[in-house]
Amino acid sequence: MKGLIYKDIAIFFKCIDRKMILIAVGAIILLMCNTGVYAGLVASVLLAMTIGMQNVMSFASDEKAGWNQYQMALPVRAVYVVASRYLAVVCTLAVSLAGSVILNLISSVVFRHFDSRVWGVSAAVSVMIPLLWTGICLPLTYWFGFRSAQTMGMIAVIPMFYFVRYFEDGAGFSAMTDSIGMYAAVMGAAVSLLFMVSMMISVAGYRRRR
Amino acid sequence: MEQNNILVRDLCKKFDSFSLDHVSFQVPKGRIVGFIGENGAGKSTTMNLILDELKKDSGQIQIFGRENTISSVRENIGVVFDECSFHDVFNTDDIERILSGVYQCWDSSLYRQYLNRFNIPGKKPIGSFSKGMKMKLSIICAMAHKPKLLLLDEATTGLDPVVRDEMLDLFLEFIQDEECSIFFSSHITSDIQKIADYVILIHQGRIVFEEQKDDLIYNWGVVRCGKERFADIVPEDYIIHRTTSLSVECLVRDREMIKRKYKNVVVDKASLEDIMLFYVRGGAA
Repeated sequence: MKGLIYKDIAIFFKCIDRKMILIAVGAIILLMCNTGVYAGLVASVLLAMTIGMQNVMSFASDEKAGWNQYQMALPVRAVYVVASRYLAVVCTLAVSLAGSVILNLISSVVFRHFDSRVWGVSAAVSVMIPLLWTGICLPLTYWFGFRSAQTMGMIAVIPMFYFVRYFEDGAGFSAMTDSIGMYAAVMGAAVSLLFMVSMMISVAGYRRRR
Repeated sequence: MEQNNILVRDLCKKFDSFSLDHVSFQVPKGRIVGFIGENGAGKSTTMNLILDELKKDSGQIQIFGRENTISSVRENIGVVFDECSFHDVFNTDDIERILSGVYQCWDSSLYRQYLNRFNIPGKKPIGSFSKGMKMKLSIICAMAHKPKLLLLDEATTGLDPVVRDEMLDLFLEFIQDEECSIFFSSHITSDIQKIADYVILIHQGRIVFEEQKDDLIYNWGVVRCGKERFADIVPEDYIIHRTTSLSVECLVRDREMIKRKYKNVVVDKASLEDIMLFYVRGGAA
């Protein structure tokens, strides 16, 4: 299982699509210019989405290389094969979290505004979005193949778009109540639960495909 | 004590357009068993069933005397498919880190030794390797955890003769300790003819024969004669015949007996390819 976790993390970093990075960097800069003091938060959301997407993309490279057939011949039980991929996703959260810290730091320096709540929410979303993204896409991949996850990934962009619009055009972060911390905790618990359930569904899907 | 590394009994698997029908054979310890047949005959399906990558409908598959569905059984199996299954972005160091974390018995020094022996570079991405180098790497990875059984699914297909020969030598070294065996599926019969101890022919999902290779090569033969002379040959003396516009060819089990019994007929040695073609194409010329 250790080897498979290494494989997934290595693919995550080695298969980063330069075009996707350029698009993400461009979008982050654009958003940072438009969202003012919430730039760090919105950019963190975009980075987290990119990381979630990259995790799902690594599955495509497995299919392209013919790894999935090879993997079935390895002495690793189905549950560990799937668990290793989910654990690799958890490991990549460090990148998302670190990115969120850096982006918020840039935003705080550029706009000379520091709000611990924005930093906290940014950190929370940078963890939750990749978990949510992969939690939805990985079972689809294990059950119906990579293409279905790609389609779902496209659909998942829509709520993210409205989230960004909320900060650009709407009342923004100031309209949020003081109990946002509690909402974040509830959301965190829900996403964690979804992630666990997702893993179980993926194990069933892997066994079925086998 | 178990004498076979693989035992398959009455294995059945049905698909919409193809079925594997009561397939039975064995792979004894210390032997190389060649599994031949045309494309679509059922070789890869059988291989996938042995590896538990497909669920069988009925029958029995035992590896080292245990059910093939037990995951730990695969600890002692090395598998090579017809294509390299490693990502192009990885190098041989990455592959080592991955597989040493998967196999308990991974032997890093043996892996390095093989890489040096076959001149596989350590730092270059696999994507820059030639097809031959990729297949060499796949075979090295299948052997670096010291398995007792190698399953090769068209592993030499697409390799040039020099690389194929190197790999075949490696396979012969592998079985030297009489405990290890190789189940080698291929439609390149010359490779099987070179190294196999036993040959199994599968055709349309059924096992046609399971024979010792030496028996096939040294005893079996192809009789070539005119149509008039063919009328004298008793049907029990040949297995299959095919008629061309000028002559008749028959596949026979006992070349020497035919030579003694029938004068004025040409009896040649039968290669595995000849035998396979007779069975697969039947009476068609």
